[in-house]
Amino acid sequence: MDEQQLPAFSWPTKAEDRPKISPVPWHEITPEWAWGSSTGKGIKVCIVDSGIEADHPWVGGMVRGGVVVERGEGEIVVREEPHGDLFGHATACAGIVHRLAPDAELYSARILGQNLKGPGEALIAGLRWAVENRMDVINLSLSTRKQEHILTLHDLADQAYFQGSVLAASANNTPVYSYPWLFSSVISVASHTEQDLYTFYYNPDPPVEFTAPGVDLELAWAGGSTAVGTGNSYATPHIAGIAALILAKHGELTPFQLKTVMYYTAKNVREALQAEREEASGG
Amino acid sequence: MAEEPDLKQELETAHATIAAQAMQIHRLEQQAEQGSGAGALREILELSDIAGVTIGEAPYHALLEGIIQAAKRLFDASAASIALLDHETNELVFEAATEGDVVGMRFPAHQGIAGWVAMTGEPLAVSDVRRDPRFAKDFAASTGYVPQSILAVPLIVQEEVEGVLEVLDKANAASFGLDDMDLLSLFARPAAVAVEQARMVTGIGALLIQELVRLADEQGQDDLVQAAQAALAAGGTTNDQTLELARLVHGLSRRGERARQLAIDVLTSVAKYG
Repeated sequence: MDEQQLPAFSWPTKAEDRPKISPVPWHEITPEWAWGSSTGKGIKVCIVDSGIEADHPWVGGMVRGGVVVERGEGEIVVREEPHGDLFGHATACAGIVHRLAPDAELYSARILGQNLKGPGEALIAGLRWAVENRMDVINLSLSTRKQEHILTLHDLADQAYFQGSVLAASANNTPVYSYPWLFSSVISVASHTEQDLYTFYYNPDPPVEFTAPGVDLELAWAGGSTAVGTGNSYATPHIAGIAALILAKHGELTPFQLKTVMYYTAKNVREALQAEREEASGG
Repeated sequence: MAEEPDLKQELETAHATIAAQAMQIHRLEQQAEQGSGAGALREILELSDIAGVTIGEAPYHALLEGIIQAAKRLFDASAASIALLDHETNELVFEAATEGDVVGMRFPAHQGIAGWVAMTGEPLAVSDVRRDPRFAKDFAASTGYVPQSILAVPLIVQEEVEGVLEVLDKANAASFGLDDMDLLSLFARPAAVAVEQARMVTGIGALLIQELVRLADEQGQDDLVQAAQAALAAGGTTNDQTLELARLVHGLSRRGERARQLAIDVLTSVAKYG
């Protein structure tokens, strides 16, 4: 069949016309291969939350820009301007990303504020800004239960996925349906109780795909202070930070491939592979 | 009497809402039981029992008091409080607290730990918060109580955050853990419904008196009108309003079959809400 006759979105059939693919054997995908020596340099990470406190020592002066989402005359407005953290939550997330990926550039979309009532329209506006500005990694340690926002959020999550922006989204801390973490186009994150920054687990029982440290963590907090906190909110920036490290080293990865790399570098998967190897060599 | 069908319809709608909420409580309790470990199950059954008691006839503030005392005991906390959202001003207003004289105090919903929970609808566990100079420390100090650890969960009714339930300073532990977060969130579900139910019953009491004022006014019952208007002006608790309601209905029941039937309909509905 001639190429011009292919249905929309189809691929050429001739091998020489197809995009070149350089696959990596799965058994070579290790943490060292994935993020060894990476610092996250060149990667843009956006925290969509309560606003990063840019001068907090734990974010290392890496905040490169941000927007404030507010309600103007009856409608949501997005303004690029410096801002602080109204609560401490975004700074906590940014601090975790910076701890993992110290050279990653941080961006802040503040979606909580005086005239806003929860993460609905403002969440959409902040997320849209991050997607349209092609952030490499977007950390969303929030969700909305409002059914009316599902379609718009779903479209934004897909837009991010297809353009190569990785959206790390917190699972709700309570067993309820909320969004966008339930969408398959995002990386959904919950907590485990270990403290090691680089330890994450693959969850074979979706919708949550990975677990990361989220219990009794030392966090950056508002006003230059620190606090100890617990919640999936803090597990998510661990995954965002790991994603930033991997993408800085392997910029060609799509979100689909990134998830695969994270699958092979998850602690429980590596342990299972190791056990198989030992059994094979023992036999 | 042109409005009578509207009143009945409104009451039926309100009753359907309450019934739906009761079913929701039942479903959530079942869900909680299925989703938790054996240890948590025992505690959930205990708290469900407490929540069941609180949904009874207790006046609004007694109900809130019951919830925070139960929360304090169940979570080994030094203190517990409930703050509800004033949607018009976007402020949180303390409605009940086990420690300090804070009831009625307001603070903006766009700051602090309770504010974050109110805005996002997500629970939050934070400890060592004294290191945070912007954690409403002045406010906490003015209440005579500065916590070391906080667990705050939203009170949610039909997708909307209506308030925040907080427990402070877990005994014999530096912080509240994930188990506490899970359990307090479960506890908050029937508690939120109970709070909303109490608010609704209070609102329905006022609505009924208003309607009866109108009815009495139509029939030239000046003494009844004055009594009802006094009851409305005084505000009062659900019990006060119900007492006034009983007096009015008693007066109306002597004014003819139609008024008597309406009074019976009204009282039947009230009895169901109780």
